[in-house]
Parts: sequence; C-alpha cells; structure tokens
Amino acid sequence: MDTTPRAVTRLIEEFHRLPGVGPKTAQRLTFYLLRAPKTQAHALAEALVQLKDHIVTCALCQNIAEENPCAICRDDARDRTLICVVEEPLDVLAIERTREYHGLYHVLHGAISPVEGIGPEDLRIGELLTRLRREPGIAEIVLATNPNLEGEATALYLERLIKPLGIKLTRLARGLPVGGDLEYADEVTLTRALEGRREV
Amino acid sequence: MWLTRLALTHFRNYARLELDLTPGVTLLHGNNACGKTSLLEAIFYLATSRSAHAGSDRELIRWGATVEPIPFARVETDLERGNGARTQIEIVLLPAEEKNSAPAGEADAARKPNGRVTKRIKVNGAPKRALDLLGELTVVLFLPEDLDLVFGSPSHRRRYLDITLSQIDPRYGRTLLRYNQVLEQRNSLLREFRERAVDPHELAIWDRQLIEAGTYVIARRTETVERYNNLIADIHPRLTDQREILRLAYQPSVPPENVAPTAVGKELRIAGIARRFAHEIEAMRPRELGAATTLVGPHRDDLRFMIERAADGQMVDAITYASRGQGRTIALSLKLAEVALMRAETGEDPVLLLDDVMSELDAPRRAALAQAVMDAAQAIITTTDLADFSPDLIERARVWHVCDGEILE
Repeated sequence: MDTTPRAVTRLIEEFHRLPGVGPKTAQRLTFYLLRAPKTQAHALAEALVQLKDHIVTCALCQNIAEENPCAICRDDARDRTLICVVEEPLDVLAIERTREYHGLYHVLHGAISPVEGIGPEDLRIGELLTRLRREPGIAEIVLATNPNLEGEATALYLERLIKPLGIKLTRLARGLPVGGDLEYADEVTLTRALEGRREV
Repeated sequence: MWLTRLALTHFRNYARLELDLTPGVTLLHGNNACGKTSLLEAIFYLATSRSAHAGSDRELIRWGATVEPIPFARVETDLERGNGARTQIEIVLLPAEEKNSAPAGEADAARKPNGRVTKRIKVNGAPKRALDLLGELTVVLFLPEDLDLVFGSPSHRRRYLDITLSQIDPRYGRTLLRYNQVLEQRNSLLREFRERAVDPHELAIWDRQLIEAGTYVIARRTETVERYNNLIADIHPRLTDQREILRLAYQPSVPPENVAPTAVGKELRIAGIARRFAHEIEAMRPRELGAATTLVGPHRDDLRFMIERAADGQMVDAITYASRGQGRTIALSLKLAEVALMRAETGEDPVLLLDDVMSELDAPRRAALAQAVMDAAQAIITTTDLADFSPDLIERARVWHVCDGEILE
C-alpha cells in the first residue's frame, strides 16, 4: 500500500510535468522542499503565483513584461526605426547582453514547424504586420530567428511578407563562432562563413 | 585499417564476449543460428551506428538483458590504422526514455520491444553524435541479401548508396539528415493542406532548403556512381570471363540537364541540378497537393544495373532480365568496387565483412572474392562449411569456432 502523503505525490507529479525533469529529479526536488525552511517553500509558491498574475504580454513587441507596453518599448533612448525579430523572449535577453543593439524587438513565440503543427498563424506574425502598418517610421527589420531548419523557413516566410512593404530587411550573419577552430567547423557553417565574408 | 579487439555485452545472443583480432583473414566457423552473423553485425554497427538489416535497433539488445534493471547492449572495438593511429569506439544502446510530456499510458508503449533506442556513442572516450562517428571505421559488408540490391525495391539501393557515401563523406551524411528533416516538415505541411486552405508561400519557404540539401545529395550520388562505373569496368568482365559488361545507371527523380557531364565543371553541374530541381518542384506542385507528399527529390531516386552482353552488345536492365546467378555476380562486382572506392577515397583499407556468401557463388567467382579477401588489411568471414575455402586461404587464416554465443580458437 502506498502510504506517501497525497501532498507529496501531487508535488512530485507537478514537477515531473516540467520540461527536463524526470521522475527522480521530481522526487529529489520535492523532498528537498519538504526539509527546507517553511519560508523558502512559501517564497517559491509566491514566485510561481507572481509569475502568472503579474506578467503581461507587451502589446507592441509581444515580449513578456511587467507592464504594457514593456520597458524596452517605452524607452525613449532606443532607436524606434529598428526592429529585431526573434523567436523567444530568451533571445531578447541574449541580444540585450551584447549591449550593441539599441532598437526595438518583436517576439514571435516560436518558429514555423509543420511537424509540430506550428503554422504562421500560431506565431505573432499578424501583430508584426499591424505594427509595421501603424508605425510608418520603421527603417530596418533584422531577422534574428535561429539558423536551423525552422528558423530559416520562418525568416523566409517573413521575408516574403515584408519585402513588398519596401522596408529594409536584414538577416543575422551566419558563420564561425568566436574562439572556435576552423578545422572543427562543419561544411555548412564554413560555406556560410565564406559566402558572408567581408572586406577588411 | 583493422580491428584489434571486439567486445560485446548483451548484444544479440551474446551475454559477454571479448575477442582479440588480428590483421589478415579471420574465419568464424559454426552452425546456423549460433551467433556468427551477430559478430559481423556488431562491427557494422560500430562503423555506421545503423543495423545491417533495415530493422529495429531494439532487436539488437539481447533478450536476456531484460533481467538487468535497465536492459542495454554495449559494443566496443579498438582499431588500428595503416599509419599506426589507434581509435577506440564504444556504443551503448538503451531503450529510449519515455517523453516527459507523454501521459502514463503512452510511456508503457515506448518500453515494449520494437520501441526506439537511444545510442550513446564514444570515440576515444569522448561522446560523439552518430553523424560524427561515420568515417572512423570503414567496412564493406557482403551479405546473401545483397541480391536484394539487384532485384529489390529502389529503397534498398538508396539505403546502400547512402550508407556507402556516408562512410566516405561525412558531409553527405549530415546533408542527407538535413534533407530528410526538411522533407518531413514539407510532407507534414502538405498533409495539413488537406484540411485547410493551401498557402503557396508556406510551401515555398521549405523548397529552398529542400533544393539546397537535395542538390548536394544528387550531385554526390551522380559523382559516386560514375566512380563505381570506372571501377566496375575492370571488375565485372573479369568475374564473367569477359562475357558481360556492367554499368550502373543512376536515375535521379530530378532529370539531369541535357549536357554531357564531362563537358561542364562541377560548379555548373551543381547549379544545373538546383535549377532543374526548382523547375520540377514548381511543375509538380498541383500533383504534390493531391498526393499530400513530396514527389521530387533524391528520396525517390533509383539506381539500375544495366548488363551488356559482350557477344552481341545487347543491353538489358538486370532487374527484369538477369538470372539469380547473374544477380549474385552483379552484387559481388558492386561490393568489390565499393572496396576499391573506399580505399581510393579514404586512403585506408576498409575492413571486409563476409556473411556466409561463399556458398552462394560458383568456383570462378569464389576465387575472385578470395583474392579480394587476401588483399584486404583485414577480412572477417563467417561460414558453415570450411570446404568453401581454398586450402591456401585456410592456411593463411585464423579459424575460430563459434558455438552458442561462445568462441573457441
């Protein structure tokens, strides 16, 4: 007979539903929290509630934010003629870390993948087009989707939609990673790097 | 190159086996169904991380292994190259882990036999992807089923070309994988179009990647078939007492442009294939929407064997006109050409694996195969009857007796 208290099995099940968490890890996390001070467990619960209750989607860039519009979209210091299109909110963080980009963003929340049943209508592409129509001052769109099959297809789809609008369209360069070795680069990457070579 | 050690754990019918190997000829002698073929299969798996027979990898794990907490199989080998470099390869097969998101009921289904397996590959102790394993160990496998290459469906021949090319050109393996992924996406979309409005833009975004990867696959296959033909021009007449000439005819589903292949440079040829590919895809669009699957591309190629009788110059397609005996000779010519091709492309002798093929051949062809075996850096051969081999070969070979998962010298 299974005598494990219901509250314990329930939390194990909830953890197990998270991506990357197997049954063992779910148990370990649960028993860790069981022994942890009450304040820590409450802080976690509180954080979870906050996550769902206080996070909104920015109506402009579709990124997750605390306020609508988000801090980036409200920032007057940013270049409002420039929009960088990314797949996920985490990609915004990655580009922000460079401190090299000072324009605005647009988050698609995914990439086109028929195998997973994700079509253009499941992404925030309509919102992007509305935005482009409403804000006539946009001078350049940077397509920063991932350089994989789905990211490439998504970029190509956007290219076909945006090109007729007459806005300058650029794609992130693909090539060799900094600090990498030429001899370990695969042929596709090297080919792309050769295609995108620049005069020095 | 040659293997110096082979170790199996829970692989097929072997609970545990540790075998020291030497360059030259090794004969594995034993009755049917006692585990000779499994040894060759293990070596083939170490070279390609694919099963020699187009079946489930799950079947490679020994039945008895289910008593282990987690059923698994392990194959390991040490190999040495002509230049003295040593490499160690290890592959562990585990039943695929259940997906986190899958409800409890579905997880059980995944654990049943014939389910998927996870492969953990290590080269010199470092984890590698299956694609990066290719080319470390090159092998040519001779099977009685090679006859299917001649008489079977086109998929047999494509699989054969793909495995051979992946062994000599790592880029081919990677490009083929990418091609298949694009194909899967594109076919999913075509199926979706049965239930909703067709958006030509959505289809077109996959075409460019399909053409890019597919063009490389077609170009490489074309090139390789030409090289096969150069080699077979010497091999096949010798095997048939100069009575037959064999030509491989590659039939890509994207027809080549009407230019003599030798007259144009490689770059131009590739551009030509891409152009034709784009054109065909455009032309096939209405039919593709009807069929809900991609109808143009290297996944629909074929390779045919054309035999020309030296006596009257008559040319026939082997698939309809060859006898079984002729088919065996064609398969043998193909494999011997593959040995030469690998040697030329990689600068290294491939390991020859022969699974009971001598008994199928008549004396002159046996002699030709025996010669290839003795020329190889290493050949590992299974047989039920040592009388199939010349005393000369047996003299030079190391003979092992295989019996119910055990091996005795």
